[in-house]
Order: sequence, then structure tokens, then C-alpha cells
Amino acid sequence: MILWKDRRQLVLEAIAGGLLILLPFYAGEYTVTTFVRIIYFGFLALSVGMLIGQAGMISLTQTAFFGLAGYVIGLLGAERDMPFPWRDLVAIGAVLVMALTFGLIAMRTHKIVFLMITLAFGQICWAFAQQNTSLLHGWAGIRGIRPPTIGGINFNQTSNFYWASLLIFALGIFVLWLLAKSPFGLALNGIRENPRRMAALGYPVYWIRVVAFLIAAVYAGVGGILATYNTGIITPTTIHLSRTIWVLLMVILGGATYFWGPVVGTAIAVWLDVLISQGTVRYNTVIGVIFVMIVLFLPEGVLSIADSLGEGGSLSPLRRLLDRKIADKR
Amino acid sequence: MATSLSRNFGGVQAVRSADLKVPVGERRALIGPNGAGKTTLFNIITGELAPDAGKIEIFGIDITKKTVQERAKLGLGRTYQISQLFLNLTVEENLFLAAAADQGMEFHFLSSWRVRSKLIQWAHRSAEQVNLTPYLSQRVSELSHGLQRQLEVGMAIAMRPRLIMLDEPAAGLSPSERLILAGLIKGLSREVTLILIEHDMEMVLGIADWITVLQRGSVIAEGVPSEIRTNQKVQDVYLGTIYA
Repeated sequence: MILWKDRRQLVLEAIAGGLLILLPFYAGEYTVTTFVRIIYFGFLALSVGMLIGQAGMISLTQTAFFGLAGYVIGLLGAERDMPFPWRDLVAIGAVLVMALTFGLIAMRTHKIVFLMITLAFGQICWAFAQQNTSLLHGWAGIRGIRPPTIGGINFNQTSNFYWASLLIFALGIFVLWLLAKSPFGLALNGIRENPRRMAALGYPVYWIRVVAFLIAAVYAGVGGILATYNTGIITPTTIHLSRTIWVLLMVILGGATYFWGPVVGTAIAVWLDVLISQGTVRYNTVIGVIFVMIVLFLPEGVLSIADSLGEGGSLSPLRRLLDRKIADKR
Repeated sequence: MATSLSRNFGGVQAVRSADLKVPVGERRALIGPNGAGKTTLFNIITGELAPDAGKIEIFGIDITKKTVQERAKLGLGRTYQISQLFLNLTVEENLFLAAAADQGMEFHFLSSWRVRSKLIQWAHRSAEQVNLTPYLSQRVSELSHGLQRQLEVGMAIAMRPRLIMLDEPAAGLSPSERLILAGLIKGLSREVTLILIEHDMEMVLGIADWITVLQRGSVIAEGVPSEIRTNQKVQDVYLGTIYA
């Protein structure tokens, strides 16, 4: 949760930041595109990870918000020529409306029921996108979506688009960091730990959870907008359940209870995907095995390595959450 | 304060028109054998159970129909028999959440909670009152059971209530931990009224100014500790069963 602990770390972060900013000057276009993918999936992972880590809610609807934003951009931008930034704002607005609708229902539930209801929401969105041919063109989706040109800067160019994405990502991470430190963030942590006590203290637990769900949905939506601009296409595959599971795995891979966990997990997962698929067509099997190994040996995520070097850690909230889930099922 | 309260569970009358009047600043203990209706009466006052008949007032305000949260706003705090703490948060964060409960802080998004110096100060002061100052930055899950019980009382204090209901505060504590907790409860400001349910008679006799004895849902005796200790009726129904 701490951005920098000391001067040395500050220097390291400055170097990392510099390397990221200068990336298009020393890396090939494919590498830059891969980083763009890390950024938009990173937004989605932050969305999922914030709900798990801060609020103790495992939501399987976040990918639907990602896709919804993409579809709105496609429908309004590519098909109806609505200019930037209006289509983007409408996309975020649509995400907020859908998140509020789902949130008002889902936040009445907890734990396993919450998981199931968010799974149902996600599946409804996917089924609708796939079966609706009049508006969303079924499985074919919407094609030919291009990023805008703003103030003479053409964001169709990979490096420009990368810089814009990087800036938005940095901003998003900074805001999330502020949120985590705020009274709202602490209240969310309280709800994660003991919702009944929070209610007894007089906190509006239901509304705090709804607001957290809205914020997380916006992060997924921003990721969806960037993804759609980058790939130029939005199809039901984008919001398929396998994508949802993949994002969940990325978050667990990095460490859901760590602030940087979702980002680190995304970076590792996307690069694994790229590197292993170059070597074998059975890359999904290899990635699956790697995931199993990580869950077995680093159940609290890759970032727990750094932690266990520092101190003898205790059970993470996520681990306890999952343990409790298993206990609930019995 | 509470007049002719009754509550039935199915065919069982758990509380039968019990009356309880506690003056401001008093330390009152509710005692009685198992099934006497202490916890039921307690939960009716805190608002977790609704009475079937009767009326509850605190500080002159009728709260019979009010929710737990509304009662909390009127100055009613409570502790739980089984600790209800935020285990993976620090002592300071726990106390802050209690101190900030009625401050409308939860929808402040972009400023750190650590800059709320007034609330932090309240949290620290409650930590001091329950001897937890050295543990402020420790996670609650790392504290001993005794310290967690102290924090449970600290959480109630941090909400700055005028009436604290203590539900078996010493549950599961060792004799030495009981002594510490009893000393700390005795040391609480007299501006706060205390109502206490406790099985440990020594603790009750040490803390309470006035004791109400319940049996089968009715008040059978009231008085100062020395009276209760020698009351034949009380010895028969309660003390006798323990100290026989």
C-alpha cells in the first residue's frame, strides 16, 4: 500500500517510470502494444482486485462493464460518428447506470450468493451480446473502431496511444491509492473484516458497498474503452466467462490483498501469454500449470515473496475469505 | 428507564414485566442464573430484540421503536460477548472506525483518514483508557484474547456514548486478565452510565454500585453489592448454586 518507503525505492520507481515513458524509443512496436494490453487489462484487474482486496467482494461482473464500455464506443463512435469525448463519456455513464442497477441488487447479498449473482449478471450480458443481432451484431460484434485525433495528435499511432494509456493508467492508480487511504477506504476494509459490526456502528454498509461497486465498474469501463480503441473491435468473446476467470487469476497471481497485486499479476500473465504462445500451441496448458503452481506455493500471490522476505507473514484476508467460503459450503 | 418490559419466545416468557431504572453515572450489574432473561433484557435495551410489551427510555427519550443505529446516535454503546472486531486492521484503525461512526466520514474519498486529527485524538484517548496505547499500530489478530476484550471496551468508549452496555466483558479471560479489565472498567469516567451482564461474581461485586437480580424473567432483588451478597433469596436462586 505504500508507494515509496525510502529514497532508494523512490529512485528505483523513478527509473521504472522513466523506462515506461521512454518505451517506444527503445522497444519494438509489438512490445509497446503488449504494454498497452497490460494497461487495459490492468484497469480490469484493478477493478476486480479493488473489490476483493479492499471490500472482500469477489465479483464476476466486472468484465461485463469492460465490454459494455467497448460496445458503447463501437455503437456511437464507429457506427454513428459521435465525436470524442462524448461517446467516451456516454460509455462511462452507461457503465455507471448498469453498475448501479446490478449493485442495488447484488449488494443485498454476501459471499457465495454475491459470487453467484454477479456470475449471473455477467452471463446475462454475454448472452445478450451474443444473441442480439439487430444492434450488437451477435458474435461478429462491431468492427472498425478507431481512437480519436485530439489537438493534432493522432492516437492511431501506437506510441501516442501508449503514452495516453500510460498517463490515464498512472492517474487511475494514483486515485485508487488515494481511495485506499481515505476514510472511505478504511470503511471498506471494515466491511471486508466485519460487515455486521460496521452496521452496528451505524455505517451505511449497503451504500458503501454500492459506491465501491460503482467505482470499480468505472475502472473496468475505462479499461474497456482503451481495449476497444486498441483492438478496433468488440465482440461477445471480450466478455466471455473465460475472460472473467482469467482476470480473476491475474489478480490472485499478483496478490489480491496487495495494492500493486492486480497490476503485477496482469503484467506477468500478459507476458506469459505472449512468450509461451510463441513456443507452443498448447500455451494454455502451460499457463494453467503455472497458475496451479503459483496458487499452491504462493497462495497470496507473487508479491507475497517480497513480504515473506521481510517478516513472518500471517494469513492474508483473501486466504481467510476463501477459507471461509469453503467453510460456508459445508 | 425500562418499564414493565416483556418478551416471549414461543411459549416461553423470557422477560416478564421487568422494570429497570438506572440513574445517570451508575454502574449497574444484571445478574441471575442461566435462562433468567439477562441477555434478552439486554438485547431489548440495545435494540436487537423488540419487546412484546413495555417501554424503554434513555435520557428521557422513548427509544422503544428505535433501531440499533438510532440508539447508537442517542449515546447508547455496547460491547459484545464474542468480540466483534476488525481482525486484520490495526488497533488504531479499529478505534478510528468506532470514533468516526457518526461523523459521516465514509464518503470522503480523496483525503487520508490520518489527517482527521480530532477523530484520531478520540481514538487515541480511548486506547489510553483501555491500556492499549502501546499496541496502536498492531493488527488486532495478533493481540491476546485479553487485549482484544480490552479493545472491545475501547471501541464502545471511542463512540463517546453516555450509556455503555457491557455483555459479559470478561468472557473467556484468565483471572489476571479479569483483574486488569475490572480495574479498567472501574476507572471509566463517571459521566458514562454502565450496565453490565457478567457471570463472574467477584467482578460484579467489585464494579457495580447497584445490582439487579433476575430470575425467570422477573426482578427478584435489587440493592448494593453487600446487600445482594447477604440476601437469602438471591443466595438460594443464584449464589447458592455456585458457592454451595
